[in-house]
Amino acid sequence: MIRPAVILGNMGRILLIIGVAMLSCLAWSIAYHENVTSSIALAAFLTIFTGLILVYVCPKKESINFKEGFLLVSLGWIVASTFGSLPFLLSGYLPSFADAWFETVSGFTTTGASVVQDVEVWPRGLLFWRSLTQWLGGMGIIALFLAIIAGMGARANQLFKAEVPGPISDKISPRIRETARKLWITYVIISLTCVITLCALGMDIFDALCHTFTTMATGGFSTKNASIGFYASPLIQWTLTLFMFIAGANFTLHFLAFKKRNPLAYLRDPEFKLYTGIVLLACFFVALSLNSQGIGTGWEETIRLASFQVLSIVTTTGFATADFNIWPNLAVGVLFMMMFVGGCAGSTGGSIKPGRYLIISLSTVNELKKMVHPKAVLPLRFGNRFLKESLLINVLQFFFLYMGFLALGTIVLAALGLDMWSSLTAAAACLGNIGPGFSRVGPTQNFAFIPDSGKYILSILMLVGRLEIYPILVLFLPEFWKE
Amino acid sequence: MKIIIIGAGKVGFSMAQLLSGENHDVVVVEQSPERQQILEETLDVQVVSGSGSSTSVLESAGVHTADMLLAVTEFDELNMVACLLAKKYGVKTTVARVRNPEYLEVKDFSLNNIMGIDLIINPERVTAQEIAEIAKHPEALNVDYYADGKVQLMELELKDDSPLLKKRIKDLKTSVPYNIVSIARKHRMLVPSGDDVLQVGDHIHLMARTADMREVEKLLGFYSRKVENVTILGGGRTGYYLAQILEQNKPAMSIKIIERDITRARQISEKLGHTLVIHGDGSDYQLLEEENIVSSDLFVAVTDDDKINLLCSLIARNLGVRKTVCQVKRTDVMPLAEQIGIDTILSPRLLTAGAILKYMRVGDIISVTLFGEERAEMLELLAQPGATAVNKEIQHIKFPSGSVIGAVVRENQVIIPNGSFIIQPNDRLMVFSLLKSIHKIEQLFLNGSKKH
Repeated sequence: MIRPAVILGNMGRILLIIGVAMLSCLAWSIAYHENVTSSIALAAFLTIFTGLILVYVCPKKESINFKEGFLLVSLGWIVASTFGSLPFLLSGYLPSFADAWFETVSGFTTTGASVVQDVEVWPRGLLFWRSLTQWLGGMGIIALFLAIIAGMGARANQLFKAEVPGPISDKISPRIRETARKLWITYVIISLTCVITLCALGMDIFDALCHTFTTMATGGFSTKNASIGFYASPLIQWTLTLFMFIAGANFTLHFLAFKKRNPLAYLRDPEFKLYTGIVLLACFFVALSLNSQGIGTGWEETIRLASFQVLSIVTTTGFATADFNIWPNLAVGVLFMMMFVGGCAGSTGGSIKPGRYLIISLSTVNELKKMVHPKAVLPLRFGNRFLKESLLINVLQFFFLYMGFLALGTIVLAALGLDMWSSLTAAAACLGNIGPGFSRVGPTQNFAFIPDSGKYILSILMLVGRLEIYPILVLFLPEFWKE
Repeated sequence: MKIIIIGAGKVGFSMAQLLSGENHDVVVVEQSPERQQILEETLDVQVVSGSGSSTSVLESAGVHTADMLLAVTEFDELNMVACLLAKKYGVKTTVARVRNPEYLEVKDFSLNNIMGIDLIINPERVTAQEIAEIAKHPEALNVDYYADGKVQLMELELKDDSPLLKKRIKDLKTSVPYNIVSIARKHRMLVPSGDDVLQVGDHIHLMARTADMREVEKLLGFYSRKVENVTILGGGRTGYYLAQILEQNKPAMSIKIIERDITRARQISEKLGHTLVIHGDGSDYQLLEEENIVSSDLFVAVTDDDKINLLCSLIARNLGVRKTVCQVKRTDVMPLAEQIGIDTILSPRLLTAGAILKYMRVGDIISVTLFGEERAEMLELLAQPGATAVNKEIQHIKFPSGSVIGAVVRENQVIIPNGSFIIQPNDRLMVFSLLKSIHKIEQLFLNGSKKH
């Protein structure tokens, strides 16, 4: 059975983390004497106060049960997004709740779809919060919660797995709390490297921080209307391309490679190899396509444009250095398909993940072999481990459900009056946590024109995509709520 | 020499039989009263009742004065403990039968250095290695190596189209030197002289330089095409090891294992590389046809059940498989099995006994292989200075009947000797000998001072 006190108490703890994070935005607001200071302060106060009340009223219980685990993860994200939208609402920059919630969910889920028409007029405090939500959501609110708050017991494993993307998650430490902590530390260290590099290349500290937050989280919010296109420096664009690639790889591998001085870990991981292969192949075709139309002056720019955009889509970041909406057909086709790839398991990226494609392909090969040798016993070999039948079924179901949600989103948006291409890519971009799609939701456009009901649907798609369907879907099962 | 054998199972019994036949003092430690009775009735050995891992039992078996201890029960851990204890009592040489690969495939340390076990013998692996050799030389019934692999011995069968038929051995000279060291004819082992004539169905043992063997085979008309397709029946330890060894072959062979137990099938499919594991019953005719066994170059039956091995080998033979190898645990049925047309019959027990003997004959006698029903041995001897047969032409040495020098290794060079060859001190001689002549042959080349 589900005990409300357990859920509420833990919600309170999550709110405390969110509230404290908001205070960091307050620092920017105060430093630049912005008129939104009081609104952010109020938002932070409300969040922390609610959190404190919940924690005080609902004392800590020893353990949580299985159902509570799922509810905690899903509800944690919804509550965080709701309170996270307070700064936008209270400051009046996004007065409608639908807009503010869409923007916050888009932030926490690292989607990067925006309803803001002109970000450059926004105060720094709000821009910082908008980027920070992505950074927090990237490695995971629950992972952060697990890393900070002890005593979740055996259930921590379930919470961690429900949030971390991909079909297989590794424990790099016997305890989940330690695993979550190590992953977060890896995340912070790589982020710091990114900030320093960007500053060294001439970005000011505020923009460097904001862009690092959204790059490392594969989010895609920018502080500029023209996204990364604003920065003409090829070096900045290459740097961000590289960090997007890093963010789209498994952070467990980063940890092993640097902490344990074991760079071979990358080469031994079949998913990483597939991810790299897909990226290189896609870059090649997009560059080929751009070259045929003479886009980009010189080969360096053509390759830079192509690889930046490919990585931005593959890793589900959603930055843009050019309006790829008007690129030639081959480039658009490849980029559209890349929307369904995503980063590796254990990365901050969204979408379906190369690992799942690998598992499906391997089992397809096995099925074909079984047609020739009906009684053959064929193991499902994934790197140096073997996968159980149940995992394969889970992956296949995930694929089916993903396509189901994509269809649902597309039809709802079409019903709201969007053209087919826009509805399809908007749904794909939100479900895959990418950000921009094509046509009316392309890189130079935004999601502001979509009716409120559409925004709510898209926000739910983002959550479904970020938590990889099951933790959200299980809440709709009647048995879940029965005692 | 005083030897303690722990466990009188199939291997233990064979070892006791062989060693007591060679005038060693053998003490057998065995728990089962039935086995004890069989031992006492059939062999001239001392039997001690009890467990080999018990110190009091070991002491009453005379471990203080023993030179060697062979622990060959079916329990790995018991064997290891017995060896460990024996070493503490000061036994010089210990041999343990250990089958679990987990104990053997350790990287950082080995059983040798943590427990002081001198030889670890794994019957399944020995069998698998033997079969792998046959797979490399499909025309051969058996293959063996001596002098660190420089000399090869091959057992070949004379088919009715062989160019060697009805010819005297001394007329069969080729440009490349070789020696026929024995002929197995109608279950009898002969050491041939130059005047013997080869007949259809003879199994000859051919000895030559490893590098020359292909050429010799070609000249004598034995050459056949390589094995590309192997079907292994039974995914037990032997089958698994065999697949593992064959997988390393280049160019890659196509290997299939048929295993009846689904859990075991899954297990080995995960451990092996490109081997195809089929879940099914090997005696199921339809499955064998479905899996196109006909196209196999080699069919290996290594299940635990002799009857199934024999039956399936026959089925495979009948379907037209080029070569069949069958594992039979009961050595008494071996001649029978060869009669019904199975190419090679292997007994893990004989192979194991051979491997242990090879190790035991440390000193001047370097390695030993058993042929057929324990009738003959292949010895590697070091010609000691001052021995009676040294510095003489081979044709002038008084060889006991039933023994022959197959090859000589001198300063790392392999020589296939003829009658006028002079043996020098420190030559390594590959001598083929019937069991009854072994002691005589040893005396010819040893310096007399050696006790045996």
